[in-house]
Amino acid sequence: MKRFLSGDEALAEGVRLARPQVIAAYPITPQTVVVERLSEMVESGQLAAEYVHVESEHSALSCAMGASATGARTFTATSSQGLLYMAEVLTYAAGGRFPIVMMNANRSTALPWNIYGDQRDSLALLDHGWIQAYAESNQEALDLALMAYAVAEDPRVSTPFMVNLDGFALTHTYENVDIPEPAQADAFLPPYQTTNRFDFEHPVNMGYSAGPEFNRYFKYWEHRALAGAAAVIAEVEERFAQVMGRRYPGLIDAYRMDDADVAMVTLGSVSGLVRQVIDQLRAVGLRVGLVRIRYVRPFPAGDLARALSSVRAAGVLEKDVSFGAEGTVFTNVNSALQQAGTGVPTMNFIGGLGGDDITEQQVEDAFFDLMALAELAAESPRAASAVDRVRFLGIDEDGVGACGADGPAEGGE
Amino acid sequence: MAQVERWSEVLFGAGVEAPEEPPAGAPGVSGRLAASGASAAGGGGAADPGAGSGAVGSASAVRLEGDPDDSVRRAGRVSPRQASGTSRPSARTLPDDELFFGHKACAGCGGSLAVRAALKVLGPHAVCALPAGCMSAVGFNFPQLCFANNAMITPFAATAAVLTGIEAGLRAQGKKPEDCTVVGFAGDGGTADIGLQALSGAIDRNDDILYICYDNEAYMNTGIQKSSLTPFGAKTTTTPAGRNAHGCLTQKKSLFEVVAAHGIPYAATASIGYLPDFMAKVQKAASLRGTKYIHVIAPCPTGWGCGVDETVELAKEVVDCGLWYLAEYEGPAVSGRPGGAFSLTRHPHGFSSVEDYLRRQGRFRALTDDEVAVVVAGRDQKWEAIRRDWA
Repeated sequence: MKRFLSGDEALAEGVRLARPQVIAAYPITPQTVVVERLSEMVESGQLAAEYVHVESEHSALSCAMGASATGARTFTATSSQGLLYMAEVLTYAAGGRFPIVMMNANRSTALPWNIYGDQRDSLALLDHGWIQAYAESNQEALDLALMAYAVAEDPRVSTPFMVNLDGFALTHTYENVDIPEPAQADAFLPPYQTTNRFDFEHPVNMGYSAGPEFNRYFKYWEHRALAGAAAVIAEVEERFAQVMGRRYPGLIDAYRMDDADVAMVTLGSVSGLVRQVIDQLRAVGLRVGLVRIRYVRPFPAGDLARALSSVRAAGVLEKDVSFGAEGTVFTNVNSALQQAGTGVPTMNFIGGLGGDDITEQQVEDAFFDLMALAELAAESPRAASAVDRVRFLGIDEDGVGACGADGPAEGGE
Repeated sequence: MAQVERWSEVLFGAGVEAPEEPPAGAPGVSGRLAASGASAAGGGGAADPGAGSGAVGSASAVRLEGDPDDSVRRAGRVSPRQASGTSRPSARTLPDDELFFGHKACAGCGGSLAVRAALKVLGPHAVCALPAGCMSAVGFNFPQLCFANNAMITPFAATAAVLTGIEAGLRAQGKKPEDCTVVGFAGDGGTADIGLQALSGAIDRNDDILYICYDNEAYMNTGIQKSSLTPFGAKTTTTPAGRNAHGCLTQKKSLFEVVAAHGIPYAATASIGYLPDFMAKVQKAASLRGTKYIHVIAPCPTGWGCGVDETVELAKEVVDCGLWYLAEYEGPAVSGRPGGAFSLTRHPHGFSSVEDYLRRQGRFRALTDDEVAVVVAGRDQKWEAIRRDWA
């Protein structure tokens, strides 16, 4: 059935089809519509779940963890400061190997306070042991909600899963979405079965201290299971394609990369704009392409290295910065390329912070920057290495606001 | 001061002999630990604790073996829901089974006694959640896991939220046994400070859980730092006694009344010095639906500066001298009275000496006579209010 839905609504439909047994809900813009729709589904009887009105995000994820420890399928959703507020519990859930599925509406982090979309919230928590997927469309958001449970609950993975939707760009933007029938969803996603749960016949102690001699093993398995999720994701997507007729391309999604000279790496909804610019540049003979990262964890290092091995320069366009360093995705991509020995020169484009528009012109300019970098690197690697590789979009060094809260410095320097 | 001579008196009241040997059939610590890593740990080396630990591949869950079925069967003879309302827990009805043992608590630990006694009342189908704190630190050291019933650690602030999740999860799956109490054991800091928001949320939702705060009056697990339940005048490592201040400058937060103000179905104060009273309250709480809260004073010799054999006596004396009280609050739904009803479960006709109580503890050593008089005056004011409002 096709319906015209916002990203939040589409995600909620996916959650409904997944039949979670416990939902811990706490509102935060721009996630709120998700928990509103789910409450309506529970009220109307469309969804048989315990809907818990927790008093904070910290309690939301803690409640989901307690429910998961009983073997229940659980869902919660958050955004931005809410995600940061529950950050402590992210590591509990991951270390406890509770396959909770959580939707995160990507939103800027304070200060300055801002409700609009960027990806600083989830990328700041990359190291907390969760699978992180980023949707490009509302259809993908709905489908990810279903696939997330299948991946997270697989006993080889048993790791929590964060489905990220760009705040407003997806959460509040409407698209036509195909909603699977419940029978299809049930055929794809069986009920959650696990041994990682309380048992009244054979009681268990879950979550504990472990000294150094054991701790390293727990952490190693956690890493191994998350890295190994890549293979499970491929299996799940294949099964999804068989049941639903929609096929997803794995950890990355390549567009017009076959003969690309330069490539842009992206995350989430901005990819649509980049595809459009690529089509325009291709029309005038420029060989440019896109690699959209769908999963930042497990990190698709091998896929990226293969996809980018023959380009002359690669850019990373991201709505994020690790202050004092560079974009977090850029760091990860560079590591993948360096380990693969590709020698591809790279450049970081940081934009869209606090919901700022990333424009067609900016993306086009970024591609030209990459082509210039490729030429320079071919002529003189030394000269290329001196180029500033981290660029902020839309910053006018002399413009209004360029001098911070105190305004332009008097007298100037 | 008389020493406690008879363990049976502590646990069961006077007139009962303590068994000299562990109760027959009580499983040994090592026998219970079938966690995959347990044998490896016994070998003394760093071994992969996951080998064979189950399908999860990392398994946060460690299964307790050593015939748990037998433990369930034996302890099951006093299902708390069956027993509730018929008889108070006593030496005659309490099971011999130990559900919390083999832990690393300090000698004389009051908190572990509270957990042990409560679980004897609640039985093996209780599901426990414990935040960071003494009881989780001493009871959850992989592979030495000390709960014979289902139990898990929670984030420090999240005891009540995890309890909510456990209860909702069991109920949603139709897997909650009739005699299952979902119970939390959190310390004073974990309850009155960092965990208060989650506790308030659970009471607001009236989730069917029992929250037990074992109050040892400071952050003991981290080395005796002040909490909001540390009493006036107590020296802690963050309220030192020096020339300018004699320990803690604030009064103990009245958390029992904070909880009662929510209109919670049932709340109680208790002391491990009056164990039958505490256990009766645990039993009563287990028989009621909705959120229940029990605040039990549990002295800590390490933090209080007293002998390890003085724990129980101090827990009696704090009640006898009037600095703590044994009370209940029944909310509107239970009491049938708008606003609910407070009552005392022990009516003191006179008080023993506050000064004697304070002076036998190292933490109050710096208090001057004037400051002791302030404590006494505070006690008298509190009791004036109790007798006026709760009678």
